[in-house]
Amino acid sequence: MTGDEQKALLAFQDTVREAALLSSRGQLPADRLWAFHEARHQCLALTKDDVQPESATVPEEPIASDAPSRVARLNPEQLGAWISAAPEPQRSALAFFYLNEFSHREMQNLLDTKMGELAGWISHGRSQFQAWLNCVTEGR
Amino acid sequence: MRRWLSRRKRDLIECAPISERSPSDRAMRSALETALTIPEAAASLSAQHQFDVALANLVRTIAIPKAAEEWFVNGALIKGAKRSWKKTVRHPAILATALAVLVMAGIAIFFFVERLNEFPGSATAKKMLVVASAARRSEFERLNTDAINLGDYFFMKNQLEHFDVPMQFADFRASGARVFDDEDGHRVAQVLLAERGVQFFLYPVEKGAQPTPKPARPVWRYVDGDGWAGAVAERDGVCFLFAMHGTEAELRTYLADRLR
Repeated sequence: MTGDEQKALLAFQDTVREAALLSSRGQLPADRLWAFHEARHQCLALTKDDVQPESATVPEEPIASDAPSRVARLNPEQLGAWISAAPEPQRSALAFFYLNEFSHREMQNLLDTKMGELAGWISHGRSQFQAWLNCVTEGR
Repeated sequence: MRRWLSRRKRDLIECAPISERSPSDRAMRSALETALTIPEAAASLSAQHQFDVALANLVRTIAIPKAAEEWFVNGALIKGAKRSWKKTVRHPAILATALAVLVMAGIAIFFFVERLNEFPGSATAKKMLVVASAARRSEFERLNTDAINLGDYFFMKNQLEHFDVPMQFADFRASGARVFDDEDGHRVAQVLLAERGVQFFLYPVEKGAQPTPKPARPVWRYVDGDGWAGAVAERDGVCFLFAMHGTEAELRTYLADRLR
């Protein structure tokens, strides 16, 4: 989400602090989505002054049959960098989706969006990642 | 995928779960089952799934910083508080809903009690009270006779059978009478009396109303409206309405003295 480990750690600590504060007041909701919602909010707050990705047309490619093997050649930092460079709210949608923790309804709830939009962000994200994957793993 | 599935199902397939577990969501299960029955869609879904699994596996390898990992030693350190029932009750949405239910229950009880007081012909009786409040002496044919004679008067003049005034009111002095058709086309006889603020009405029992067994003493039922109160008794298919200017309580007292 942040593309920077230090910022991610800060967002995490701020989320835990907020949870502790609410818990001490007896106001912490017994809802597992709360923590993810809060973490996203903290990440967005920390990166709002950073350079934001331009809304340019990103090349897209259909998913290739050898994509899984190409993905296996990447290191997680590369994936993190790519996702954190995506424009919001697609970045959050991809982060939540590939965390593999939520149903589509929970993701809609977290992102406060409709099914069509969520599907669009994920679908375009796949095609764009495939195009980027083709570039970075070509000739390896 | 585009050509083979509906838009809704396509959207669901795009968000298909990465894990192999069957999704708990019915719509998602249905979309996946439909996609698997179409070979082209199934192939596309399979490629998408393998791609997603590869990415999710890569995500799992992201190292969690030590400073953050320490917090997960005791995952239940900060626990969300479950709402107590007292807190739940005080929630504005619950309060508003409870208030709305109370208001609706109040209205339902009001209508139920109103309905308990109703009887066949009560609607007509209420209309007659409105007629009584608006009646002018000039609209009546002048009479000067005892009420006991009105039965013959209505029969001779208007061919209205059984339009007799009950014996308890036979000594009232009638000063005017008229016959008119009400909204339902029933003939209604209205009698103006020498006593101010009291009128008689005679009209046929509503069609379709259950015939009441003939009681030994007339049963009086009360209605009020428009500043008037009325007591209705039925005999021989004709309703007799004693209308008096005032409240139902005053009418009850008046009739209790009169019928003693």
